[in-house]
This record gives sequence, C-alpha cells and structure tokens, in this order.
Amino acid sequence: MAEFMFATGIECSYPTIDGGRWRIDQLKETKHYENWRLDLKLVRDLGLRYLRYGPPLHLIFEGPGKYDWTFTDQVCELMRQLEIVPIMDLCHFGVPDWLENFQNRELPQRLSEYAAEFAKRYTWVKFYTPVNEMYVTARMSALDGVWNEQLRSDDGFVTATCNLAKASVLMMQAIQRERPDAVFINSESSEFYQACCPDRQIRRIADFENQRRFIALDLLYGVPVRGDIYNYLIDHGVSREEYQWFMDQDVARRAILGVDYYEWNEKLINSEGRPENLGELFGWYVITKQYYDRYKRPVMHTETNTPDADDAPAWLWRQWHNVQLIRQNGVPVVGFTWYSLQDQVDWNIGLSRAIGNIFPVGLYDLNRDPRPVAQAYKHLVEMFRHEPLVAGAEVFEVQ
Amino acid sequence: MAKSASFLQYMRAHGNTPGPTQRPVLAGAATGTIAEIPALLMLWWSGALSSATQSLSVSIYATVAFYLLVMIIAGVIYGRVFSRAANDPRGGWLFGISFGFLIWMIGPVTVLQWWLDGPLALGVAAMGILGAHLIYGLFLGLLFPWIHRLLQSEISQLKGPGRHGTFGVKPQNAIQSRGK
Repeated sequence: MAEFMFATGIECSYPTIDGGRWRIDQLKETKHYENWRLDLKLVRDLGLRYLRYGPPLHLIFEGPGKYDWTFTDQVCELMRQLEIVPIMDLCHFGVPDWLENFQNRELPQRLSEYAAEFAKRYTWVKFYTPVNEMYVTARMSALDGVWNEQLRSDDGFVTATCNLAKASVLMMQAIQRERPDAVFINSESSEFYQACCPDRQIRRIADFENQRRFIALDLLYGVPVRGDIYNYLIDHGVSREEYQWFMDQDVARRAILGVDYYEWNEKLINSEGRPENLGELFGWYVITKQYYDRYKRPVMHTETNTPDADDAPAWLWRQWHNVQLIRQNGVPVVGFTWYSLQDQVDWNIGLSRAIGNIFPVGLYDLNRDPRPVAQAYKHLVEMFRHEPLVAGAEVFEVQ
Repeated sequence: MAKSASFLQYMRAHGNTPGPTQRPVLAGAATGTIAEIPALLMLWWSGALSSATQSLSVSIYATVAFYLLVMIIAGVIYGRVFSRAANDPRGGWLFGISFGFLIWMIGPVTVLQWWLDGPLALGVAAMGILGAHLIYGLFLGLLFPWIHRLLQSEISQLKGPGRHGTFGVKPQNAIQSRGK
C-alpha cells in the first residue's frame, strides 16, 4: 500500500521587482547554490523522502530551445542517490527575462515547451507542480503591483490568471505525453475573506474575493465559474472561445490539489473595504474543505510555517491535527509539507524589496543548524510514517 | 510596542532560540577558554598584566585567575545570547570583535575604573587592554562556529519530541491543563 507523503521544500521563488531591474532569487539568498548537497542530506536526516523542489527556471530556460541544465543535472543525480522523491516545481513566481512577465500571451506555449524538455530529460521524475500558486502569482504581479509586471488592474490580473492557468494545462499535457503516469500537485494558496460587518458593500467585496480566489483553479480543472465571475472575465479581456477552451480540457484526472496555509491567509474586509490579516480564524480544515467541495480532488497540505520559532512546533502539530481530522471526515489528504527546509529571506515583506531580512520559518536556519521545529517534525514523521494513503489513491504510489 | 515586538522577532531569527542540537553555553565556555590565551599574551606583552596587578593590589596569579574566569563567563554569555548568530562562520568574527569591544567598555573602562576610582592602566598598557579584548573577541567569533559544530549532535541522532513536547505542548503546560 502507498504511504502518506511527508515532505518539505526548498524555497525557490524568483520574481523580479522594481520594474524588472532586480530579480529576487531565493535559492541564492538562502545559499542553496552553495549548499545544495548538504541541503539534500538534511532532508534525509529528518527521515523525509518527498521534497518540493523548484529548479531555477530563469537560469535554465535561456531562450527558445536553449537550456542550461548543468546545475539541475547535478542536483537530480544526488536526489536519485539519496532516494529523494522530488515534486518538481517548474514555475515559481517568475519567468526568464526574455519571456518578460505573466502578461505575455506567448508564455503558456513556451512554458509547455520547457515542461516537455524537462520531462524528457528527467524521465524518472513522477511528481510535478507545473505552476506554483497561480492566484498569488497573478495577484502579486498584476493586481497588487509588487512583482514582475507590477500592474494594478483587473485587466492585468485576468490576463495573468488565464496565462498561468493555460500554461498549467499545456504543461500537464506536455508532461503526460512524456510520462503518462505523471502526478500533478497543483499547489495553491488557500484564501478566505470575511466581511467585517453586515454592510452590503462590504459583504459584496468579501463574496467577490471569495470567488476570485477560485478562478485560476476553476480554469485549470474546467469547473464553471459563477455567473458574475464569468462576466468579470469577459469584461476584462477573456473571449468566450478562450473560456470554453478551458472548460473542454481534462487534466484533473491525475491531479492532487495542493492547499497551502499560513496564518495570514484568512483576511477581514474592513469597514473601508480593504483586506486585513485576520490570523487563524477558521483554520486549514475549514478553508481546505471549501476547496475540496469545489474540486473533489485528492488534497495535499503543500505549505505551512510560522515565523515564531518558539511557536513553530505547536503550529506544526496544529496543522497536522487539521489533516488528521479532515481525513477522518472523508477528505482524501495524501501528504503534508513543512515549508521550507531553510529559513527564507525577505518573505516578511512579501519579497517586495531586497533588504536581506531573515524570515525564521525553516526547519533549519541559514547556517543549516536545525530549529526546534525540525526535531518536532522528525518526531511526527517517525510516529506517523506508516499512515496509509487513502483508498483508491494507488495511482499516486511511487515506484 | 511594535518596535519591541520586532526586536524580539529579530532576536528569535538571529539569536536567542537555540536549536535542539545546539549547546551554545558549553561552546561559549570552551571557545572563551581558548580565546583568552592570545589575549593573555597581549596583556603580558604590552605590560598591561603587571599594571593591572599593581592597580588591583593582588598577586599576578590572582590577576590571571580573575581574568581567566571573567573571560570564560564572557564566552558563556556570548554563546547564550548570540547562539544562532554566533554560529555564522562568515560573520562570526564581526560579532565576536564587537562583543570584545563591548566587554572592554563595560569591564576595564567602566566597572573597574569605578571600583578602583581610577584607570586600570595608562599608556601602552591601556592600549594593550583594549587590544587584548579585541583579540579575545576576534578569536571567540572566529572559533565559536567550528567548536560548536564539534560539540553539536546530529539531528538524525535525536529521539523524542524535543523540549516542546509531543503535539507541540510543553510537558509542564500539559500537566497544568490536566490539573485545572
């Protein structure tokens, strides 16, 4: 019987900021390029096999048909030696300079070419995240004006969302042509918006945001959007044919819904109509159930952490108990992830500037010394390592 | 309030939450012991040792013993306060030399002058005291990460849930909860 997937990840975001003048490369900031051998060993030291890993797309994909696999070849070779099962994250918040940004209509096709080349080269890789957190990528790049194209418009957001969803679909199809038994873990940030008061306008904003969070996954999995959201898409540049194309695709069959959760994912729409962080109001269970009820896919908890190193073990266990309870109640959760292996840099300001703040959320710090949560996670994995996968989930078994 | 919260977060990120494999106090004591040897040579070479002995009106052995004890305690404090930051093999020297300067300011410049009602040493000897503290800090900062690595255990060797207890609840909290 297949086993439950306990995982961690190497933080690998690479968006551009400041009008494209600077690229934030988390693999560089966290010294992974220097310490990748040690980092992979640390994964195994914790008793983990599964690793969310994002090769640096912006360095590998040098141009149409041009790839530099030097670094990734070395990493993959060691992964195989250490029997690490990677969940390959092919696009994580950024694209190479020559592809400009997420407004580029050429992007889906180009990323599908990259995915095909990747799957051809690394035939042993079974698990893929084609595009990480599509909603967050589109929102931060085209609605909140922080990364990449830095737009603040609904037109920009809709264009980015459609490009990301289309890229995901084409990438999944391209990978499946190379490896028909590939499994896709579509990680998405779980979001929830709570209206602060019975004001009709405030409730309307919260309701709209609670629909907008689903758009990218709706398009990916071919789930019809609500009427007003359909109009929103059409009003901001999606053609009826394009929408129908999404509805006609069928890539969900071998897909796991990855649900990421942090304490800032639940937001209050305040009396001025603006979102404020609410902390953990309903928690992973409730928010994930909303996503599961909509998509009916197997679920994996694909990211969580907390910046308070002292509270991290308790947060870890709290997330795990959420997973246990939702499994008992019939939701097929196949995996759990503490993200990330090492501390991150500048995530406390959403990678909006390159300051160098250490964000102490890792199992290890940047000197690769373990934090208390590392021991807690190792203990948790030892206790629950034989937790069975869910019935009927044999397709996800690692050979 | 916000400032103190962010300072606490900074300290947690960089310093005051040692990991489960770390032994910062022991590493600080061991490194402090080693680092005081070149510092002691500097004190002797600059004449600061004999000046300090005269000022304190004790034997040279008592001065050396007092100095060795204080510097071991300083190493322990360094390890405890900066445990995680002190582990940085690249930036450790800067932390260390700053710490050496700080204990020079607190010790010979402030506390001992107040106690003796005058300077501990003058001229070259006074410079020797400053130099000795900077050398102590430099060696402390440089050596701490490496000595700490020798004293640390491997995460793979650790058993059990750690000091936070199973399910993230510290054992004493769990007992208190049951008692209520």
